[in-house]
Amino acid sequence: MIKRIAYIVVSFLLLIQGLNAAVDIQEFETPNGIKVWLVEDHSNPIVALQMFFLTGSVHDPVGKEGSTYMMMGLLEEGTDNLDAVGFQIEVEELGARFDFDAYKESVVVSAQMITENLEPSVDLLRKALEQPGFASEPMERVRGQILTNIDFDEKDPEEIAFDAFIDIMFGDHPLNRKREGNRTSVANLTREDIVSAYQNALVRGKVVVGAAGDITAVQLGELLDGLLGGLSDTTPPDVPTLSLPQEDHVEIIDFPTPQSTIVFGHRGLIRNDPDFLMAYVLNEVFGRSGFNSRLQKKLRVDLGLTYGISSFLSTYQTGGMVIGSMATANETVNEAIDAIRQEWAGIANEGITQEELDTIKMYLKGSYHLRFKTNEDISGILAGMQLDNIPASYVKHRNDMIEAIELEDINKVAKNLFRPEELVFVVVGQPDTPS
Amino acid sequence: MAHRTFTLIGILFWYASHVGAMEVPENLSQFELDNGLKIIVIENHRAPIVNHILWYDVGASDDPPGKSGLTHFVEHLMFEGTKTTEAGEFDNRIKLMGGFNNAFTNQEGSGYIVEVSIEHLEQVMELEADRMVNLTFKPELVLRERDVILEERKQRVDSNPSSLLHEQMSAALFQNHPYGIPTIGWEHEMRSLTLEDAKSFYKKYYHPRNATLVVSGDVYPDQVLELARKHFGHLESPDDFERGPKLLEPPHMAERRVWFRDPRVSTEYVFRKYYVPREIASDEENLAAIALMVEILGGSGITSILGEKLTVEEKIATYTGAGFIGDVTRPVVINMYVVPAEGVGLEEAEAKMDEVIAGFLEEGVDKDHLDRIKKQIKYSRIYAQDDAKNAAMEYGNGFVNGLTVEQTAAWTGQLLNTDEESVLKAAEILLSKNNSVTGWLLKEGAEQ
Repeated sequence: MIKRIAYIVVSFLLLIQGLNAAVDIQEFETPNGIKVWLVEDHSNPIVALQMFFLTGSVHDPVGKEGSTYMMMGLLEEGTDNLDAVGFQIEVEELGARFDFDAYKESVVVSAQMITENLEPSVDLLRKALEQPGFASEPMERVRGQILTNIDFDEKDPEEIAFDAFIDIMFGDHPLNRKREGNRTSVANLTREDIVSAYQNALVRGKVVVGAAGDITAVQLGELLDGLLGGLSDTTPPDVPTLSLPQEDHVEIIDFPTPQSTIVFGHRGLIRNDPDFLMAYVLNEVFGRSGFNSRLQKKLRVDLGLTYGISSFLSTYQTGGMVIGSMATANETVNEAIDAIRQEWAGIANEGITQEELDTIKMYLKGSYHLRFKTNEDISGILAGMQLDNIPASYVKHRNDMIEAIELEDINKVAKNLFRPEELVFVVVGQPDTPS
Repeated sequence: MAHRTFTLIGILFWYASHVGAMEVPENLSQFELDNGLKIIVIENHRAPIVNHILWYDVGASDDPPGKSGLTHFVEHLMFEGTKTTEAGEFDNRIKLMGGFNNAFTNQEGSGYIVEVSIEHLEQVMELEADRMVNLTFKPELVLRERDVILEERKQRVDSNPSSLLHEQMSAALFQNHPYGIPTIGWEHEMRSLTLEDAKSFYKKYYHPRNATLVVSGDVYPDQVLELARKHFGHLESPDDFERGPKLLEPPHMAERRVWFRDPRVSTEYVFRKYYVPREIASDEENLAAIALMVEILGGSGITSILGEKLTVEEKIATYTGAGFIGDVTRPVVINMYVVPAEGVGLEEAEAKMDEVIAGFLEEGVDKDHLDRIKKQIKYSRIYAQDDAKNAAMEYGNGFVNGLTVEQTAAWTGQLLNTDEESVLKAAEILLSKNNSVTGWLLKEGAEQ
């Protein structure tokens, strides 16, 4: 019997200049109220699904840090009547690709499946989500793997630098705790902790779904209600608002290596800030990875100090940051920091030029549709937009919004976004002491 | 668990570069211009996008003696301007098209990748044709870029104990072939690279006869051929182009061991590399059997033998894996590793690894396991269709690795036609350690 699906299909075509190709997003809710965006494409017999749950490791109780992360890792390690090896063998037989991951403010289930095996693949995924085994065999093995990774991070200069930077920025806030947890917490996690993380993270009321590929809206609606219907519907508690420091600071962490890793930045904007798009465009000019950003031009091309330097906007629900990173020989750390400070002051005080703005507009407009390439890419974008509360119509208007940006306005945002007086640097290595 | 692959796993996968269709696919066309430029067009009309990848048959194994890192250095200089373009202009122009571009160097080839909207194809071709022959070498830019590659070496190799172990192991494995020398180069040789070195190397290897242009995406063969004639057709190739002699490995007669200690090591592990003798590896059937043997032994985590035995059953390891790299035309190396569980030493981990190999040789190949792998190979073809770049990389890699389009296309069929018996026979390579290097990555001060 075909269930009636109460969905309103709202289509948003992303039209590309001079081409007839389009991304047609269908937006609907399943009978059980799950929000779904779909781009239908029957040219390749695969279906990609991404389910983002707005929960995440930030909700791990104190002392149980890492429980959500370990729980998500265990979802691919067997169900209540199928052991880990048995489960993986079934996945392989079906040619399905499942992935389960935990982030600080979300957990993600993604699946790519071959159309001819869709039904058994979804059934297997449903078992993983509804009846996870959390048995001791996979649990001890996965615990060992996570501990190995934690040990690795403790000796990885880039990881050390980012952790120290986040520690300065987040302080006592629960977002400061790593999603993987720490050695002590992970060593002590019990099955009960994992079950409790499961009940808190995989909740039906907090899920948004992006889908793309060889499936219709009606098929997908039914499939999702079957897949997610058995999950609980609790609401996670609120997380306190982030408040980020505003003082400059240089922290040096001694580490025996010929090259220092530098992480730098300060507070920024949240994704829903009305100035976010302009901030994003500014960062594309200033620090996007690739040859042509201001940072790359100065530190790699002009000074030859590094193989690569880049910056990005990091966003959380209630706070954001501008963060950059690079590596340079221990002898040239001070020169690099001076150059970064100069670039920071330059963009804050003088903004960007009309030519830079025109160039970046052309790039951003011209490259946008290249993001909508594979079914996996598309489903991820659709779920990510919902998670960030961005309307589907955004894909249609985004290029016009970029085109409409005026130099004067964006340079006002630059002054507010880049704050040389608040720059925090973390250096991991053995830099020469400043002369 | 797939969350974060342990750092050393990355190099081991064979699916991506090797899986080919049973015969040359209908959507693939081949041409050759009078000047020797080979052109491969692969149609994929799923999105109005095109991948323009220009492959030069020159890799780090062509670095002249004493000049390691030169191929990679020249790759960097390809972005530093031509007679009619400024340094960095290539990137700017691609950026104005809204496109992505990148380049890479490996032991066998150098590749220049551009991905743009289809309407920009001709402009990309124009730019690539220009830098095939018109590169200028401005002294100050060359010296600055040498600093950049030195930083790149520090970042990618010297900052990473695992990378250093692999560099040492490859140097110990190869006794004559240049694969023993790292692609990025030895630091002391990189420091001595000059503008003249780069110039003469570029002149020797960058011309139509030594290149293959692979265009995949929303294109048609005639259209690509016409554009290629227009932009590359008039370029000249030297008449006397000859590569240096191909160095071959002598028989390996002694087991080698490497102990690498570093204070930055967080987790100790055992890694082994087997060199597969040319007499075996140069046969396509043998190579397909080796590929499947390695996959069964350690290619898929807990469903492969090493993983199931050592991580699930005996619980003496945290991670295990195996993979291979190489082709019938070039050296083939099998990699294998065990990361021991807490409280388990490297000696025991290595002994257990050898036990699993011996057990595998004794018990033979499970037909269900082999069939399952073959199924996945077929499914991986479907997934690969999703992005036109995959096919372009597959055939381009084939070219620089010395394979014809037909050989690349035949690879999947080779794998699917391989039976249990051949797979088991392939495992006999693992019987003797004389053609292997075993490496231990150790914390500083650890006992060996």
